[in-house]
Amino acid sequence: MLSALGMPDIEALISTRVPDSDRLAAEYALPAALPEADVASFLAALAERNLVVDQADDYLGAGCYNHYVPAVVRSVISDGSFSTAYTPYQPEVSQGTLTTAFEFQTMMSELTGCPVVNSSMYDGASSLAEAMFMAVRQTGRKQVMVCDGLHPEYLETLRTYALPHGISLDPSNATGTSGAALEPAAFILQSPDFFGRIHDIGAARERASGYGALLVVASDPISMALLQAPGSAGADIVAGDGGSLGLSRSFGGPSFGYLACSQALMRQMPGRICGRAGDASGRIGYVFTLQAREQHIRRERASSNICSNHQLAALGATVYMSALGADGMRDVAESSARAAAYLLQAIEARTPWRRAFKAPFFREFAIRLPGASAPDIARVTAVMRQNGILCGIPLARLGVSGLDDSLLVSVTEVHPRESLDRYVDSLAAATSACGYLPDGGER
Amino acid sequence: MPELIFDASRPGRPSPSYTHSFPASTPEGASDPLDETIPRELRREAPPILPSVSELDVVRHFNGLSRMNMSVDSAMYPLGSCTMKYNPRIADEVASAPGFTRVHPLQEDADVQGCLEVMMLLQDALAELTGLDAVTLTPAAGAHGELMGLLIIRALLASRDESRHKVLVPDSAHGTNPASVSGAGWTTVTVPSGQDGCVDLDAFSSALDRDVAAIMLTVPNTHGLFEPALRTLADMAHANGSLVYWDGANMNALLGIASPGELGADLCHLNLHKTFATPHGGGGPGAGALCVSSELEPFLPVPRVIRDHDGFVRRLHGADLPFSIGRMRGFSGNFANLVRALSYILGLGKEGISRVGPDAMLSAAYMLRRLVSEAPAGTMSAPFGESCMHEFVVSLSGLKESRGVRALDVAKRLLDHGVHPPTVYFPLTVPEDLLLEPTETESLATMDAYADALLSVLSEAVSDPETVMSAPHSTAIGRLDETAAARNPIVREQF
Repeated sequence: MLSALGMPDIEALISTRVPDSDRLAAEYALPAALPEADVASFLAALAERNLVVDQADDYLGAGCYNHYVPAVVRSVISDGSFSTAYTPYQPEVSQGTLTTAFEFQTMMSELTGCPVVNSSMYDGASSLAEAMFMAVRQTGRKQVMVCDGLHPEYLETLRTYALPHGISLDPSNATGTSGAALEPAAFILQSPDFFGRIHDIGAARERASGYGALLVVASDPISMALLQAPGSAGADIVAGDGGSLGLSRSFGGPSFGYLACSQALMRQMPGRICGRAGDASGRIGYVFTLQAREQHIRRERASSNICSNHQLAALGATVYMSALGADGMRDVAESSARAAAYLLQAIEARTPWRRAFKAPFFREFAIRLPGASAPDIARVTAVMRQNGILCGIPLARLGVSGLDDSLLVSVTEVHPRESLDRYVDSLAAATSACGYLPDGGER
Repeated sequence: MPELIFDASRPGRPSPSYTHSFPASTPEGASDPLDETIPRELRREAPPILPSVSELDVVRHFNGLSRMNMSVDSAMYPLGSCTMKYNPRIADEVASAPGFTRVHPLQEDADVQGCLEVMMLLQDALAELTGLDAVTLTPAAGAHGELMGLLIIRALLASRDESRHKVLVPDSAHGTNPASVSGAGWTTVTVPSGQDGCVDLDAFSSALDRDVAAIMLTVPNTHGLFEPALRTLADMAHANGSLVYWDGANMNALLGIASPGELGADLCHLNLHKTFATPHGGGGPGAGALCVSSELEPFLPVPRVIRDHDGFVRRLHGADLPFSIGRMRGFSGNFANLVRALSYILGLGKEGISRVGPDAMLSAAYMLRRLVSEAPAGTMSAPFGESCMHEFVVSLSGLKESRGVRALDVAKRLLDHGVHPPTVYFPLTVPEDLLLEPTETESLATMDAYADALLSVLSEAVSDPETVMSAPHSTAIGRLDETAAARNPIVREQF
């Protein structure tokens, strides 16, 4: 190649493009190359330095759930024809990706009860931020009401996105400031919420309508196999995280965000949307459509800067939903709900811990040790951890105020009754081993 | 028509049970706990319509669809600015370790030292490669990192009691740049490129006023050119109190050649799915990294990953980071892809990484030379000569004028040759353009075959334009009517 270019060496070529004064000042301070075997063993050793317990002894949730990941999901997303393809800019050779995007949109539409779903976003928190912007654009209003129980990381994310635009985020029980009537663009309700509580979406719908506001519901796709579909219950926009749909937790990413809306809001939807199209011979295929909304066409006037989304993760979810079907997903949801209910009943029967909230709940609940401090909770969880059980997330660690005495516990279909019984025995023992004297009580 | 998975549904087809069900009734004969915890009125009325298929049906369906995709694994895919390099297989394997896949992001730092060490090592390597001081691995994509960077600049200016509202962006910039500027609540001021394809210094200078918060540069630019005035642009911006943001999408050209931090960049995002070979996935998930100077470090988002003096790696949260812009996503980052990027860097090492830029340049320069010297007269021109870095722009305006054949038609005909076309119609600055980036992982034989294919399409466009304008002919489906699709969007199947 160098001789075709008439260059004696690569340095000569580079010097025709880059002034010497702009070249690297020194060689990189990086280690020498490792052969693949050494890369493998180096990273395997790092993986070993993380604490992983048996799946049935892992009760951590808080937006990243311990559901079973079917082998067929990883098998399909490992296919290089899916994983090493690019965004379908040439649809004729991308019908694989595009068809799966259409299937994904269809399945998520069925789950959410919304007619329009895009082909994925980055994650639940940032997807909810985009939902907030949709509502602000649609109504022209800059106030957003946030209902109690929103995941703290989602709320923090909304604040960061909202700040440059002067959008105010207010708690939803606010009745207004300085006598001015509330004029919110939207109410944002998470259900099941951060504490696993299930809310009445119909009531939220009425409330939002009373203010002329949109209703945005953040939800979890597994829950939607059992609980009322938020779109059918009146949500204008439904957003959330799709990690529960057959994706490995992988320390929090990548999962994907999903974003769904009513027909009326379709053109406000950011991101890529797959649509059906025909060719000149009448064959049916799929393309990314309504591209005039997007950054590559509208640039500074685009509704969002999103370019790459999380297509392969959405494909994983599509495989999951296909493999399980409605029955399988309902079974996962019911098993999760029953196991969680069983565990909470047993905890209250056999330990001093009590539920923190009385509301109906799905797959997750907060339990409190009345009178305990955050260090007490930490001690108990440390003892449980030594017994090989990750019993929950102390809410003090997540900066949730007023819940220093509480633990967030998630239970899914991977927890058989024997594991739940072992949990309760261990929790009872750990609690008394930490010298706790019960004082009862329930919030 | 590609069949949808729904077409294989058969009612009552048993779905495999991947786990045991939790029984509705207990041995003691008590009621279903579900009835106590979830009242009927909160439950779904009708089940969702999802496929009712066997696992074999699932495998066959997606296997069939995979064969309708072109990919880096199947063919040369030289999309400009996308860096479609080979994704080493070891990356998936190391990322699949249960010690990585099963870990929860909110486990205590002491229990996830392996994950945090991965992030720390990657941060250190990227800081070294960009010549910048601090790194966040939280961005989910490059565009995410762009917005993050602009919000950081905004926070820095606010800390100086300054309020500026404009960002200078070259006309050749990727659309995410101005879109990100809008996301930061600011106004894009577009700076024209000169005839040489580089930022017009006079126009830049006139546009640079005290209301300019930042300039955004892509280096090399999307014309594939290394701006000769980079230090000048940075000095002018800094003298004006503006920050210098580098869009690092084209970082592949710079590895082993130049460093953003040494050339005046205050921030630079990286696309790990481009430069660091994590899979593109048909449109993500990728991962971004945002590297910043020490002046901007306090404003980095939550969480930060840092190393204590004793080697312990910890995450810092909001309470520890009073000047942080806050969160822009849940948890810590697209971790599985961070493992992949680290494995890539470890496998290449110092020598390998230092050769990426030069090899990528050599490949692009060679292909441009072949095309320029062998293209039929009047069909193709190289508007910026032959001084490209890792990618180049050619224009097919001549072909359009003489034969009516457009860049789009040439792209479609290339599909019949079993290769993926280059990027078309981007950047917007050159009419009927192709932006081609071979990357350093394609062999001479593959590149020669690609050049041969492109050249034969150009010849065919002269002698038999109809065949080119009606291409592709051999793909599973022909050109789809995107206009009709957008007029009446059908975005899901109806049952």
